[in-house]
Amino acid sequence: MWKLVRYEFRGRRLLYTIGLITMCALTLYQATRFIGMRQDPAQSAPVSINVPLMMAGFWVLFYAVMTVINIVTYTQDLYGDTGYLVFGLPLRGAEVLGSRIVLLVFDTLMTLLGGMTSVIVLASLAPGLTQEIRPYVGRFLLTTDYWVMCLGVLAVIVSFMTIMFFGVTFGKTLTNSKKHLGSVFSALVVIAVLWAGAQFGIMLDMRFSGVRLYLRPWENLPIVGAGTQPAQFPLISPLMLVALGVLAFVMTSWLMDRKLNL
Amino acid sequence: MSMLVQISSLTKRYITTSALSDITMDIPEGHILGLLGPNGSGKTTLMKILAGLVSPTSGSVLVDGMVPGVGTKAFVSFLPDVNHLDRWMSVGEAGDFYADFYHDFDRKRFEELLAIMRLTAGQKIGSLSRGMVEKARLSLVFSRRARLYILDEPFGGLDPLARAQVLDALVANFRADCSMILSTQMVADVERFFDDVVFLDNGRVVLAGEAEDLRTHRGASIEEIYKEVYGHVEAR
Amino acid sequence: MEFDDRAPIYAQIMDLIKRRIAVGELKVGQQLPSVRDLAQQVVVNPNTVQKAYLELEREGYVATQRGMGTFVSGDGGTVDLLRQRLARDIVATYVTGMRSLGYGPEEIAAMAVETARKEKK
Repeated sequence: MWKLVRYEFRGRRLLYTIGLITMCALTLYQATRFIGMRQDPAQSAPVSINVPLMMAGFWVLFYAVMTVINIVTYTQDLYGDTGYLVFGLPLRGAEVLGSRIVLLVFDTLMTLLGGMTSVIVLASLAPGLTQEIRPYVGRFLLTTDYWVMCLGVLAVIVSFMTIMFFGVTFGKTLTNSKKHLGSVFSALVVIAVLWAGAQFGIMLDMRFSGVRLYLRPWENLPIVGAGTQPAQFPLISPLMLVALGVLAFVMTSWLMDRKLNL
Repeated sequence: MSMLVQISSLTKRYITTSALSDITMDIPEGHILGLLGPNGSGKTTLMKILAGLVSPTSGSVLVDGMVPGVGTKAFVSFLPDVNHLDRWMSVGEAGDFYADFYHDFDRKRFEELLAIMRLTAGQKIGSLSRGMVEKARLSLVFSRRARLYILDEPFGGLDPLARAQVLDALVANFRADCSMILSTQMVADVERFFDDVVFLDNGRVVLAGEAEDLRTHRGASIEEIYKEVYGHVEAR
Repeated sequence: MEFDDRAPIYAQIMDLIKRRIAVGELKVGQQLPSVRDLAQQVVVNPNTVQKAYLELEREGYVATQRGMGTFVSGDGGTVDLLRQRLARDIVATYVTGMRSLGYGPEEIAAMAVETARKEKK
């Protein structure tokens, strides 16, 4: 599986390079603007809070692009001629799918760390915020709760995408048609699964309304978040989504091994 | 003589069509089998099932005693009838890819074949003409020391010289411990390489046997027998 | 090499080898090309060559020694016999063809001699 991962990374070299250079350039540009603005804090204060947030938005956009490319490449392999190359390899379905998940996890971690770095750098330099933010940055990174929240987000994203992979794969097991009929069907399956999952999740949440995750991710950063009150995060639906994700992984691997019609 | 491939009552159905019905046939070790029939007769489906890319609906398929899957892919070399390589890959990179994932890939043989086919490692697949892509893909498939070679229309898009080169490579490649199944429309050019022949029509076997036996008993070439078999069928 | 695909190819390979023996291209005791080499030379399935060699051995024209190869068997006498046999086959074809055109034995012989003399020059 790791051989396949290496090849996928090599194929993405250009994209990663362009993306990371762009993000660094953007961050540096804004940072230098901020340093320049220090002369006149009153004028720039209203601007300075939005910039780190916009930067985070760019990182999310970059992440969305990489993820879309991930699943589109997989779909193209499945429905197109290059599938004969990938699925002809002596690899189990779990390994083929696993390589995609590894890429997804890597992208998520890279976006998280890169995004955090950009946002922290900008927030630390932003006129009007510097004095208040700087002392807390180090401490907020040390909060276990913050990393638990990040892990939760990672798990939810990976599970969600695994369900998408399942939908795409399932469509290919019914017919060997290269037409997009299969991908339309796949899309419907994905929507149906997610909708059903959402309904089930809501129902479970209502039944177990007492069970929540109480985290204080922003505990050391009083400027953000509602003071010292713990934030409420739903626990049941994410857990259910993760369970569905694991199930989707198992089923997709099985489909790839036994039921494909390339 | 042991059977490398054993197929029994193989059926493949899709929701609306039936691709194969009740196919029973064997491929002995060291034999070259010609799979013949018009378009849509089920040849490609049969080959994909042997390659582990399509799952059977019912019946049994055994390649060297194993059900087609991860295990068999390691010693089965499949050439699809379409270009299965990425266009941005170079010929050399395709070779590296094969070498990385297939333990039976012979780099030296690959370089020799590329030289014969007049291809260089640096050429990008997307920049090659149809015939050259064919030759590149054939070189990759033949450079594996596989137990079973499955070739779907390997001669399409090749000029007579290239065809001759490929046939030479086929003979040079021949080993008594491997088998080959190939489908082609160019029956006359290739029939002298078949040990066995299977004629498919609408997913069924309509005629099968050893090539030399068929020649003796019918006093006709395989190509002539082809015309007989399918001429008959159309007249129905 | 050209083969008539309507007749079994192994038989045609056998004829090819018999001919080579008859005219002395392959001497008694000489080794035949390996199955693979001959297959590459005439461009056929090696199994077909193998079958030809086996049949030739059955008919007594060659003998295979394990690990060493296939060799032409017999002696000068058997080669002459083979040459005669092949000649008679050719003559039989010729005569049948002439007969079907309506020629009698004397004319058949006369035309044969005349043509043979001409080609010698």
